[in-house]
Amino acid sequence: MKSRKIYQGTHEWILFGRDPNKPDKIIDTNQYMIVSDDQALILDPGGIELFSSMFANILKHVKPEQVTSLFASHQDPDIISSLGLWDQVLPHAKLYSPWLWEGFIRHFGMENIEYVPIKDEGGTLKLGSLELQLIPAHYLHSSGNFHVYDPVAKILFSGDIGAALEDGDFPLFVEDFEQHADKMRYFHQRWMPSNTAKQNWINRVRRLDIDYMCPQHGRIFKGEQITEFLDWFEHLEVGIAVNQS
Amino acid sequence: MSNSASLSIKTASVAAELDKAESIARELSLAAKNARFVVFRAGSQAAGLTVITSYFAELAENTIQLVHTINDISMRVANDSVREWKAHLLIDRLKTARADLFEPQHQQTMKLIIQDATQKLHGISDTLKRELNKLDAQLEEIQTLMRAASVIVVTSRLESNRTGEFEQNLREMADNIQRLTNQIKDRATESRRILTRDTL
Repeated sequence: MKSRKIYQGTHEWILFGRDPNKPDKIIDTNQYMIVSDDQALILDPGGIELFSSMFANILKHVKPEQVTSLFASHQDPDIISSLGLWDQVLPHAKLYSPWLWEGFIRHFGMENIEYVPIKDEGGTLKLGSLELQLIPAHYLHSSGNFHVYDPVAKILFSGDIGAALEDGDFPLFVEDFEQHADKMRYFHQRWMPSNTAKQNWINRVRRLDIDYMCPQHGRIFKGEQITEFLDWFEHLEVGIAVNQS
Repeated sequence: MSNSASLSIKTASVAAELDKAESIARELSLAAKNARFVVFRAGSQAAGLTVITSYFAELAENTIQLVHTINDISMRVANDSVREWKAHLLIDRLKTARADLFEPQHQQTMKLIIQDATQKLHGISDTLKRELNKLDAQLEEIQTLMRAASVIVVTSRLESNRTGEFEQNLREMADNIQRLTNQIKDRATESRRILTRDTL
């Protein structure tokens, strides 16, 4: 697994992903860690198959006791099925996740970590001196879903929005938006169920000042590419399986 | 298959065996109530059987209670075996993670984490051993109770000889009680066999 700092300022954002040792037939995922003062937060810590690589890479940056928080944007296995193992190595950590999924996510095994349910309207998450915003993204694709916005670094962790399922050692950042759009189209049309929810999210995100949009799969968007993405997404019809069935 | 996974399957199999034992014990309870009623009708000629039928009713209730206790222990063993399996899984994953670390201080941190995880695993394994011993002891108690019941059944057959017109009826009931206690004993024996066998 590779790790790379994508922001270094008063605090840090580190990306973990592009794992060449991950088992075949599981999708590649991006995990992010924010380190502020002496505290660290892991965003969408990943599936159980990635735990060893993730934990080893985390230790290269922080001590285990510094990881005070986990965030799970929703309940999917590629997001948080490693919880049962994190629960044993980070017994004092808190897991921030949609209230809707608490009873479900606990099925991954949670005896020690504290579940902090996020209300539908979102909220904030304090990490050291940094205050992160929890942005509602319901039905994109999960019925209880949040993204994380860092107003200082101007980074939006956008979960499955902006995701592209690519294999191999693909570039970290989007290079040509038009070409990249082809890689994202089917994923967004098939996984995202609601045009109304999509528009609601776009309206909300357009109001944010974003330099980097970081999805959980695929490449990171920078600067103008974010507006390009929002325009593209706005015109994309989603929930297509209804018409196909 | 790991020992923990194997143990989870074994305890689930024991729970299934004991579920059968409980329904047999309920039949035994009913048979004891019927016998008590016949003894009541037989009056003074079956006076010696009054105590025996009370014994069978009590035996049935005790067996049901014992089965509940064993099921509770089985459930704890099943849960602990899953915890043990998870602890093994964690240690395996931590060892894989250690292979990715090259800096001495990272190696040292991981070593301490693995030591801690191993210590917790030993704690779980010790609890598991204690619970398994308890489980075996309770199953043995059921076997002992049923063996004692067989002796009482013989006595009740002898007592029924003096009950005149009720003799045949009471003999049949004694046979039925014998059959049920044997079945419960067989379930307990099978449960102990499941727990001690090497493979599934």
